[in-house]
Amino acid sequence: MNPVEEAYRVHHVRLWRALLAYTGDGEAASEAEAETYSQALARGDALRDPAAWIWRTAFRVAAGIMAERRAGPLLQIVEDEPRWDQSLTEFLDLLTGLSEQQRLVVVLRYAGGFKPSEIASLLDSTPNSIRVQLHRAHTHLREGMEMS
Amino acid sequence: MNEFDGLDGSADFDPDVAQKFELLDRVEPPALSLDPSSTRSQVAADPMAGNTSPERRYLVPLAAAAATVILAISAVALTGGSDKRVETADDGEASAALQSDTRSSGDDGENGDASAAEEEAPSDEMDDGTATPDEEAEADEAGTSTAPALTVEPKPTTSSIRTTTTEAEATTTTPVEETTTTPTTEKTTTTVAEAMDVVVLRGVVSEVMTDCVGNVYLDPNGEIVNGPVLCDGGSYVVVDGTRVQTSAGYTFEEFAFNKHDPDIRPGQKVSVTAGREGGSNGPLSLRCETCQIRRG
Repeated sequence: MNPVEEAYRVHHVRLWRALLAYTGDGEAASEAEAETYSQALARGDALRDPAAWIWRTAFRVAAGIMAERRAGPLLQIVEDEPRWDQSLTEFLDLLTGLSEQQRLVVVLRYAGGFKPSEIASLLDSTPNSIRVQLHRAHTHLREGMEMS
Repeated sequence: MNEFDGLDGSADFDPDVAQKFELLDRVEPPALSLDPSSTRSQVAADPMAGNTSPERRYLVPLAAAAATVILAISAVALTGGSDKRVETADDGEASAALQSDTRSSGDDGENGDASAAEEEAPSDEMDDGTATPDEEAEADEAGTSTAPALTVEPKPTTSSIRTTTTEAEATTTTPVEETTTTPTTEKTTTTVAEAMDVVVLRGVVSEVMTDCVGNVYLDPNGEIVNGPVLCDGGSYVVVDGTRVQTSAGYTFEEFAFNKHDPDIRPGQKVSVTAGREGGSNGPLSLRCETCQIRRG
């Protein structure tokens, strides 16, 4: 089986949910994931570790998509955004209150299921730095959860 | 242990936060098509991917022609006929088919990335070792099968100027001229202090592959200029069938380098000073200090 296809089978659900948590937008999550797999397929065997590359790249692409959207017209027509469960919607909103880096780290930790050392490797950071960001994210999220 | 482990026990894992994330399990992600043509990058970034390559359209008939030729040669050989003439005439056709096959396969990944770089900003850095010896050999094999290509292995069918100095030979250069010469392609090999054979190629760029998703650049020392590394597969140029890696490596890897020239385009004549990694059969790259790619 193509390594990228194999990565898709293993990581698709988890990655998409992680991207949803990161972007708060199902469409952006799908677009980022599709773009990432497309890029991965185009590279074929050139990727040494397709899964790691896909996880790393997907969030970069997602960040780019979100940046594009922020830079877009102020008035946008939102089309058919799936209506998530209310509690999920509130949680996604809560996540948007985190800094981008904190949100990325906490998403990789919980939605991605990665250990701090693994997140550090994905983000070219150090485990201690990841733990610091996790700690801050936890604090922020706990405050938000208590308020709600 | 780090300083946060003892604070409230939630440095690595917070059960309440984890419980919130379980809400995501209620959402079923849509299935994605792994067809590269389904994504926005496809149109500009990967025009050669899939089965739309113009070269690929001719792959099947060419492969069939090659198979026919091989069968014909075999038949002639078995019947004791004058196989020399037949082989010479048909070999080119078979080689053309093989070369088309090889290059088309390479195009699938490479051309797309080149276009991606043109559409977005060309950022280049990636993973070393991505140009595997097999890939390099594949490109070289395609090159040696027909006239205007570079050669790597001292095969009897080589058709280009070849000058080689092995590491063992050190400073002594023993030029070996092969059967025919190629006007647009030359190659010389010398050994430099950094223990990497340096090869000079002159030829026409057939493909440019930049592997990037964002605006990231590394300076020649591999230092990040303006952002994190996003890419993995490396940047390459293909000069008369030989692939030369122009950038590679994650930022945290010592071998990260970037000598990709965004102005290099297919069709341009270039002079490439490249290093051969991992011995005489290793892939070519611009990793060495003296390595460079120049137009003209």
